Amino acid sequence: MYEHLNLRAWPFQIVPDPEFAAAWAGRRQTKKQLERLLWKMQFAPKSGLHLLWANFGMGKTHTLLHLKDLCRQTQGRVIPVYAVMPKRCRGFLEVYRAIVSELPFGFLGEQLVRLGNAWSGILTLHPTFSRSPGVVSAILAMRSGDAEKATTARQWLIAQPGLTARHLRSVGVTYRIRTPEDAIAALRALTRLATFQSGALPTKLLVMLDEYQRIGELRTRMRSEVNAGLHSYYNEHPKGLEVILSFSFGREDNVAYLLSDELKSRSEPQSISLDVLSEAEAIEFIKDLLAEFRVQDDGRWAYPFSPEAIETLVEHIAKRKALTPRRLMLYGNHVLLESLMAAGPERTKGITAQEVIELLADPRLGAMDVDAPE
Amino acid sequence: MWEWRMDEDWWTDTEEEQDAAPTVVSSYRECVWIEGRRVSPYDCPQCLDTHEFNCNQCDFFAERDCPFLRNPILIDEIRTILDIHREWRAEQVRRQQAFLRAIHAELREHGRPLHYTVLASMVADRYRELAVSESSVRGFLASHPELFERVAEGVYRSP
Repeated sequence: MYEHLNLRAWPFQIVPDPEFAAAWAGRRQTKKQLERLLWKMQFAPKSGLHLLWANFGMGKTHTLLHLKDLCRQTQGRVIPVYAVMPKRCRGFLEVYRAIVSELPFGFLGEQLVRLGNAWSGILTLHPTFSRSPGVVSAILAMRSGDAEKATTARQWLIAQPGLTARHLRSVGVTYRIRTPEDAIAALRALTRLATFQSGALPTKLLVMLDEYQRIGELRTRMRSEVNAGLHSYYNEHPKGLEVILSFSFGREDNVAYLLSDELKSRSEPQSISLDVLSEAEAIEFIKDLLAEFRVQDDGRWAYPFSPEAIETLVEHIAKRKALTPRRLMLYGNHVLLESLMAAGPERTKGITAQEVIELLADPRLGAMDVDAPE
Repeated sequence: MWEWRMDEDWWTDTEEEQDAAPTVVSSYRECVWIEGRRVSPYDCPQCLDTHEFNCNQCDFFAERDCPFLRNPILIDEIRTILDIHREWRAEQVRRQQAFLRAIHAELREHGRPLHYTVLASMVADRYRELAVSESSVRGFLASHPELFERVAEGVYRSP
């Protein structure tokens, strides 16, 4: 659709989009960091706890979604789960719900079959399910093909309130997931099931918990419960589990105030940081972004802009605001659309620096765009 | 809170004289009571404020029973007390402003709503000289709605 611009898709995206996440829009260094992280996850069997901090508008969610996309390319060696920390949650149970509702239940059902084939006894007696035998019944109910049973089983697994005794009987479970301990036991069973090694290569579960800075809005007791729940969950899995907690706020060292000492001491020494871009990095960002969408390399890296237009655009933003990927996309999108509309689709010359100056001349442009959380 | 009393003849050491009804009572309430009259750094006889004064215009004491005329040493003592009060008050204001600036800076830099307990630990670590407590941080947040927006119970942000 954008062949005349030498682009296979529209390159500017303001809100995180799983489809767009297949293309990388960020620093080269961060991309390398993600690739190294993924390699380490596959190479070493040990579990890992990783921290990701990003300033506002720096593409934290895009980074996680891109990592999720990279995981899909590992042929099932890393199973990604992207969950969002609930707003003002009332305990670990809500965090459990957020994680479990994103689990790949189809894959878990297949893993249960594999595990059943390798186990001669009754499945519920397998050590994996010793503390949460209901997980087996729930996954079997989800595979049964009965929509009502599958829905009930899913509701039970994600600890939704409101299930009656009749509902429980219909899926063959005798208890409810009510406490953080129940949740940790169920999560343990589900994680062990997901990472059950049936083939030659081990499988790892990658839990990405986005917006973990929301824990800073909780009362001390709730904060302790959530951190302790995560700590217990992580401790249950010396192998096969990778956890990424992402934070978004203005000061990186505030991460330390939101985590318990146990989590801090278990986190990997190298965290991923996404701070604001310098002018050179911003130009590189646009260059790499456009390259991701090129139909063919014709030597014009900035097209449909001219290189000077990109420099002017970056300079314009840098003089007024912090350089963030979101802002670069917003302004890039505005200039490209306005210019295309004015010149028509037949234009073959790149957008000039003068055009950028004219299009961004309105002082009210971007008045609402401030450095703030979304 | 401290409170001390000064007798008219406070320099004497006899117990009998120290048990006498006080002429001057001072406290952190920023005022001194002199013979039943309230004197504060902001509302006091002119003679306590400046060296040029006219006793005829004094609203506090008549010349014939003025304790300062009766006892010239007292005037220097009360001036010192009032200066201490003024300094103490100025220090309080400075401290409160520093406290407010610290809380505001932390919350603004963070850019997200925070529970006051988390904010208190940040401020306590980074501004040790202010010796903040969780309750004092909460008090400041609650008493300055023009600076801090309450988004939930105990959770505030800097708009």
